[in-house]
Amino acid sequence: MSQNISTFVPEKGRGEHFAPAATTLSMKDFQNIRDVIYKKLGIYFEDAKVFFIQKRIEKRMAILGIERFDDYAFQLCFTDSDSVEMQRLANLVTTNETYMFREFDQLQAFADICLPEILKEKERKNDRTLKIWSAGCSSGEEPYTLAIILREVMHDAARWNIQITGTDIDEHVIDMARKGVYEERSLREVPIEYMDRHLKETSVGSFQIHGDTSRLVDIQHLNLHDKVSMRKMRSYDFIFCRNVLIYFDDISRRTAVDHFYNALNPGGYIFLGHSESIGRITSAFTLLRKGRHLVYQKAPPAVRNDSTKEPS
Amino acid sequence: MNIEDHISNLNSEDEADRMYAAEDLGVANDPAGVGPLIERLGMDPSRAVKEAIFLALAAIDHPSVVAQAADLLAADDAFLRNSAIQLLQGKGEAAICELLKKLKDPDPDVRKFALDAAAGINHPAVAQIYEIAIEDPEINVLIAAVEHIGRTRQTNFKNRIEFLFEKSTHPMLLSALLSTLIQIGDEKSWEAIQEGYPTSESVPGYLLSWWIQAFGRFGGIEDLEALPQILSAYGKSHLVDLIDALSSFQERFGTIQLPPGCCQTLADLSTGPISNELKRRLLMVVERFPSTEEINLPMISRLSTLDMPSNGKGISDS
Amino acid sequence: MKKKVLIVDDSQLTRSYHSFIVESAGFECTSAVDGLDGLEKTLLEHFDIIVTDINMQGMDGYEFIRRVRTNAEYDAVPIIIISTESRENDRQIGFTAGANLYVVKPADASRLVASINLIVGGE
Repeated sequence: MSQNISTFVPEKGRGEHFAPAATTLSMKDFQNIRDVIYKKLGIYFEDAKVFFIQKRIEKRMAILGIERFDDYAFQLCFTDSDSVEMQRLANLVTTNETYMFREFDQLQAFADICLPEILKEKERKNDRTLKIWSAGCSSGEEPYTLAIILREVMHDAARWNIQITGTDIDEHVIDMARKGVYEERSLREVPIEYMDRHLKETSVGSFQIHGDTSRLVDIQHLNLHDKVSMRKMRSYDFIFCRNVLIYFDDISRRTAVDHFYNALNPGGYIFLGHSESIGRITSAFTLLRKGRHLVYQKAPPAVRNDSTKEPS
Repeated sequence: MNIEDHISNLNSEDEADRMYAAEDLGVANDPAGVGPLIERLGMDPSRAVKEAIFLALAAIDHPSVVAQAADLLAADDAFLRNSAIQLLQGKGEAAICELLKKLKDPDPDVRKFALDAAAGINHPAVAQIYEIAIEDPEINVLIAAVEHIGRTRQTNFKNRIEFLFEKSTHPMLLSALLSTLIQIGDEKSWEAIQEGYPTSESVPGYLLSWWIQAFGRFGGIEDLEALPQILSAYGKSHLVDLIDALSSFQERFGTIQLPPGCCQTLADLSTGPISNELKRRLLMVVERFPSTEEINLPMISRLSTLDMPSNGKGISDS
Repeated sequence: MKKKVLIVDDSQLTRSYHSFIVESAGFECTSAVDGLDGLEKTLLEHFDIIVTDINMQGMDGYEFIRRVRTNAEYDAVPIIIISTESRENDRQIGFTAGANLYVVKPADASRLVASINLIVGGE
């Protein structure tokens, strides 16, 4: 019996042996890609990020088997109608790390300008409730950060009915959030004065949120895609949903934002990640400048002279 | 709750109720919802509700949605028109037939909006729409057609674009044609471009950026003779285009010699008031072209003294 | 000091073309890719003149103009619309929203510059 000696040629896996051309992403292609990322995700990458973006695009190109940057740019801009590739790229160009006092600048806008404004308006109407929603709170760093800020900014916090609701879809991180225990990594941005006042070291390198602060926070399970649960969320003065929506597809993102709109009181503020822009998802919110910051607000109740409608 | 309930809630006094009614009609995917949704569009004072209505219409799979959206292209309200364009784009192939009809509308604005909608649809049948649009007597429609043909890489239109390029005189149309040739053209296109503009001096200012890009994309080694002149005249004003063009030459021809003096000129340009990123690119280009001359790299421009990206994070922003 | 012009248009081609014309006329130009980008830019820095398209995805030009006008800093800043529409109704909507001048596309270079100079000179 003659034997065929066959040479086994392993099939080249696209991701393994394929290397993108040793070229540079042109400024033109970078600008086109930058523009479409901005339009679809609301994240803006300045010129200085060319190299950063190039490296991440190279990963996508290796997997997709694309050789030229301009071909990738074309696909991203024109053939990605359901934003699948955009989501994959989003995962590469954003960091999903969570820690307390993340995006300090934005928290300053909240603490120094928006919060006092809302408190003053409520006091004027003798309303001492304050509701804040931290959507997609993961292991709880954000809601506890907000609780710390409230206790620091509000001198008469005890006379207010304050609810900070942290929600997430993942039961595992919810458990962690309820415990309120964090390692130094999560605490590296916490201002030193606040460390002593709101956290106590329970074992080496491990800190727990003080009871007085953590009792302002309620952690719940919630799926942002679940219409029924989302519609129940109402009367919030602030919503934080930072670095969450960029991972959603277009339709889910727009639907979630509609729910946020209805969950907010007129005059309430919504905060997405500092480089995300809710104006790209909907034009229903008003873009304002407060100090150095740009913020989005749901239009405050108009003063009505119409007798058939009650002023809110 | 059934369809009638949702339709009834569309008229609720409460904004949230109306938004959720629209959402529910979208989820129901029932054509009976289309009429009431469109009617509400015309009268609701809330932006948020109108956007929710468009989202709902996008979710309803029925030809009546496409027909209604196409009619909205003639609306007085710019928000309705633009949302209709987006809605039609989302419908994809199902919208093409209606859009073809609108390409024959007597109103040139409607024709242009229909074209913009079609340009967002990734389907071979869209080529029929470009074929009509590129013969449109209204210049805005024509310019938009040319732009879209380039953006969506309709290479079948190359000859037509070259033809138009040869005979057009309108500055904005010329810009569109040249930018599209860069996307879909080839060496023959470069010949056509050179016929009109043999040297960089002959290029009117508003076309220069495109011309330099074409030079980078199609130029041959023999065209590099003109580089010293181009660099001295436009090195500062069109630095980004020139850097891209030279990178493109490197990609296409590998290591080649630039005419004498060019490398030094490029190195000198790096001392200008340009961003670190541009400096980095400029010096990368210079370092990759072999040169027989000694180049004086100005001290402050040495790559090592610039903020180099590490871990791909680039220069940190606040 | 050069006057600063903000050009808002969702077509890259149009942005380049108009920027070139306006810069050649001696102004300093910034471009915005659409209404929202334009609005953000107006909030972060001051422009002396705004030139905007109307038909843009997301926030259209009229909405952009209305929102710019709610910012007190921009009460007196001239806003020029450049759009394809030539109906009288469109001009009216533009002026009601807060624009000062309406130029029909495609604007030839001298007409655009003349419009800007006219409106700037009139202050």
